[in-house]
Amino acid sequence: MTARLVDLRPVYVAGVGLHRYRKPTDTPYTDLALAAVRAALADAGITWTSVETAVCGTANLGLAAGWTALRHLGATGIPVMQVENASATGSTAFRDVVLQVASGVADCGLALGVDKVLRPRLAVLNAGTPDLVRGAAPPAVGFALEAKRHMRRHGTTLDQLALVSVKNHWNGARNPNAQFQRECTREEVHQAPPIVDPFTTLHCCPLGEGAATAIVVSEEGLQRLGISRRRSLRVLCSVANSETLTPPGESLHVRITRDAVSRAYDETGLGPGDLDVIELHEAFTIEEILYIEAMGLCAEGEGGPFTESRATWIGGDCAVNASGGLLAMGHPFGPTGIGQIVEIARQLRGEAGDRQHQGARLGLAHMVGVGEVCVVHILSREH
Amino acid sequence: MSAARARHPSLHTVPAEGKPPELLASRCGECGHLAFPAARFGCPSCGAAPERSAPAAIAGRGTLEAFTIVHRTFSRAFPAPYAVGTILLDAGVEIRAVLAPEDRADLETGGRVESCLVPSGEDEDGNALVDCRFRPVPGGEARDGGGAA
Ligand SMILES: [Zn+2]
Repeated sequence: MTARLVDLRPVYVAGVGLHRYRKPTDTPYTDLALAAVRAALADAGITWTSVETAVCGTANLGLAAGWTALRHLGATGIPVMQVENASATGSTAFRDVVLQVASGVADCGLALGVDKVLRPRLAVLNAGTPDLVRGAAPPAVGFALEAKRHMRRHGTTLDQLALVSVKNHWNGARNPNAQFQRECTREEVHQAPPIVDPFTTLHCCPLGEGAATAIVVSEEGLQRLGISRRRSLRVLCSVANSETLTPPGESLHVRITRDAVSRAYDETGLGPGDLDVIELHEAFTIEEILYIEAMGLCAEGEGGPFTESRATWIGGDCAVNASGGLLAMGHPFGPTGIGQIVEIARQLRGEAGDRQHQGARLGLAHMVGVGEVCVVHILSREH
Repeated sequence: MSAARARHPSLHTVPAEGKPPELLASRCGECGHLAFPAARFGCPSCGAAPERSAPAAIAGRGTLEAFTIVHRTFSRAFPAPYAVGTILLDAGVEIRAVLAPEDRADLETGGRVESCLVPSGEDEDGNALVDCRFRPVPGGEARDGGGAA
């Protein structure tokens, strides 16, 4: 039988750091990457020489972006690898470091996510697999169709969709690392320029750049490096999957999310009622409603009313996307999944400032990516 | 006049003027899975090699499960505004397709739609190309054999 993460040796997130997400600039990605790495090293209270392995997640930068940035910290000769997994790129880099440390091949590893806004080269365009909507139906269109279907099936309203954006912008306005740090009203969401019915621009995540870093350490590493256990968060599970054949009428994204999250619940013995904070992939408002249902926070079809009940607000049952999420904090691809880990670490430590969800002990991070793929982690405060 | 050619010949037929094109699907000889687009590289259900799949032309007829109007141009080939729909084909396969209604007001969730061909520029030799779209069935064909709306 294969092992779950909890069957391996315990691993902890010991340090986190960000470079603010923002609209594209001329700054080299090296600056963004090193700012996030140095912030994470300082947060953990360790130096670069203690890092034994590094994985860089980037979707757009090209070959060997990780080493090209990290070498400026001192060429220590450690293994450096780069991963790309569409929107789940950062989550996948983090997962790889978690698995390396849990397996015992390293005591201290670093996951870096960094990206600039460059045109991604989609492999599917060269895959020899044309379809009827190539070029006409990017993700915004696909999710708009899912929104329409959810509205028709379950009576989800445009106001409820807009409220996801209002909530996440309210959260982002309290996050100094968010791309958008301004609250918006439901009316502003409705009145923003239309993209694809029922989405206006404020239903869709922005393009942007940024960097995020998480340092992952074993029990032995914590002791040897003198890292505070109190500020370290245990990684309880690491789940990744990809699509299975989905019957007509079912959402592929909901299916892979439900499968990944239920495996995460099985591996940890936890359920949706145990989670205090969730960072999930809402590149479009409808996704938050679909995924809180898929995660069991509420029944299928109840995501709209559940959002209206303020259960997913900071201070509610479970704060969803307290960072501002992809809609307000931003979605620079490589960093996004690691930025979720940064936010959950800050929430569980009680260091989230004006957007602190009081008493947070358990947090779940979720990304889906073109493919389709899904990656889920659950983090826990130990003290 | 010689018949126009398909911009994407692997996806659909180009029948005589006015007739709806058929969709070029494939049926797996191992597990029976019906794939559209055809499984050119292997069966997504059981992994059987492509030579185990047989071509299966299916009717471009189905039900419009959802549709949306796109207000932003994502690709020069599809200038906004245009409509995209999720269609459950009568053959049991769910697809997404660009919609080409004569009047957008004719689009109705749950309504019947069928495939059609629209002009799609020319190839390098100046021959006319056509591409597959879907439109509401003219005359509002009855749904599921039930009464017409
Ligand atoms: Zn098969």
